[in-house]
Amino acid sequence: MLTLQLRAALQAPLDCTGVVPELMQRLTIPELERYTVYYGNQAVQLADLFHLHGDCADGALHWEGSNALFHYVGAAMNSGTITVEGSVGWNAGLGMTGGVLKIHGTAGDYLGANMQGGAIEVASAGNNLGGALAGSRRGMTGGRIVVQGDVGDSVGELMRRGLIVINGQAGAFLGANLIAGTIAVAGQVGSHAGAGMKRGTLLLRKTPEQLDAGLIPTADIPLTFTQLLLRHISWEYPGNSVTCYRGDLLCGGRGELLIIQ
Amino acid sequence: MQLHGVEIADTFAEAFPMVATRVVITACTAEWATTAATLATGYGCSVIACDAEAAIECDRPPQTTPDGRPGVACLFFAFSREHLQKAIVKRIGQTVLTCPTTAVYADLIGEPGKAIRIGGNLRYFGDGWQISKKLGDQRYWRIPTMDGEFLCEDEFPTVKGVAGGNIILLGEDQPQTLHAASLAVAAMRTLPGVILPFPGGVVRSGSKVGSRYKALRASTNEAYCPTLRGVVPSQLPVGVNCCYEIVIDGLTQAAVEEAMRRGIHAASTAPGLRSISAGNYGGNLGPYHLRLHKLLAEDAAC
Repeated sequence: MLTLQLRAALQAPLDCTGVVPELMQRLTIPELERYTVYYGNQAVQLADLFHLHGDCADGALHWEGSNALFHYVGAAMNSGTITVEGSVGWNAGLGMTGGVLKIHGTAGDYLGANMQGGAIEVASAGNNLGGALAGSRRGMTGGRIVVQGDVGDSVGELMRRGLIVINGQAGAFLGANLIAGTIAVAGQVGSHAGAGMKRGTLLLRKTPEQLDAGLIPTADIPLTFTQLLLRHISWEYPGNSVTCYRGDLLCGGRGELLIIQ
Repeated sequence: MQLHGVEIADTFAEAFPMVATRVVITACTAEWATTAATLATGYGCSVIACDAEAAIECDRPPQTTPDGRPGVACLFFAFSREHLQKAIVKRIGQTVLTCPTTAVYADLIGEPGKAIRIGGNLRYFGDGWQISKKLGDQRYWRIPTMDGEFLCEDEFPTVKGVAGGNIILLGEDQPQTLHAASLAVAAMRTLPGVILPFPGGVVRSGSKVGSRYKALRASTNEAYCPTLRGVVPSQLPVGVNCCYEIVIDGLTQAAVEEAMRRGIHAASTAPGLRSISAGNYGGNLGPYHLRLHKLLAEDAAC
């Protein structure tokens, strides 16, 4: 495992693009130390900012001392494992296609945005989790994100498949404009959940305080898929039925919002 | 060779490759799953005149099924993937999709690129309201129905299975020979990966290839018919007045062989059984020759 231990507190944002297992695996120790990253508006070598221990031959990379100034951690990774002892900033896991990204602290906005594959585990996250960068027509299209705590607004916006599991609360506009995909939330969700959704599934453990008029209740009924999904995400649920909402009617009404009873 | 005083013929069962898949049907109760599975595997004795050979493999307890509900595993065999897909789509569509609370899953590690599409063909019943969901690498189709939804996995892996393994039991009279056959069936059904597609697992009308009637592909195996002994060349020794055949289809040759071995062991303990043989076509048709003596090499007392 290659461990990157921060030498001193950062004074500017650090762009961690390219520091991913599939690239680091190919480098020798001297090459790793000389690897260029952008710190503020300066190009610096990794060894200038970090103590490097070990190597990445096993595809494992470990960040120590990270914080919200670490951006693009794990962006575009396609294999291996990155673990982060601490928090990260924006765009972590952006566009990743494989591998596992584990963040023991908080992630900033756009965690897993435009993600196509792989898995992310994080303690909590900001806005636009699994969503789309400005100008993208799709958000996350594959892979899986599991959040142990709370997330911000606009989770899974535009998603086009993939799975997001939030064990805490979610903010407003959960699954807004959802085209496809599945988002499960254990805690309370904010306003406008499912606004503009075309397809896809929102699975909630708690009834939202307010739902948009485009989402209409259809039935209280057992759905086999609910049992399948709950086992897939390892959520305990002794009951059987869900309250099924369809919507957004303004966009065809083929999306579903399921509330576990 | 003898086993428990029963003569084991020095012959072989001739078996054939057939494409196979496993389908797991779940429902709200074991009874409804069994109802659906029984109908889905009905009229599935032989590809001589049925679209597939099919039977229930075993019950699946809730903790072993994808949705945590009681289930039943079924095996289906056909000549080709195309035939298999067509048969299963029809059967599931008519007998499982229609049955309350059911869902259908695949459960087989198949050959890469050789899957058949079941849910992907049934989805059109949803008339545009069907939903595709992907969890991991599996795609499921959810079709709205009057009791909620019918869920079916999109693709089902297939393997090259072995069909036509068999043993023929020769006994003194009908009740004792049928009892021996029942013991064999019970022993064979403890084995995963095999089915006995005929009624109760037992065939009373063993057949031979061809007929004097041009329209028929198979006809009665007169060599084993006790009422024809003496007027046709017969395989029945003196004292044998009844025969029953057990046909086995399995996902692997090893599974079929083990089923035959267990069946021979179980049947040989029954009173009134004189010998155990097997059916073949001279060895020129099927690539699998399952020799009875070889199956029992370590067990039988010579």
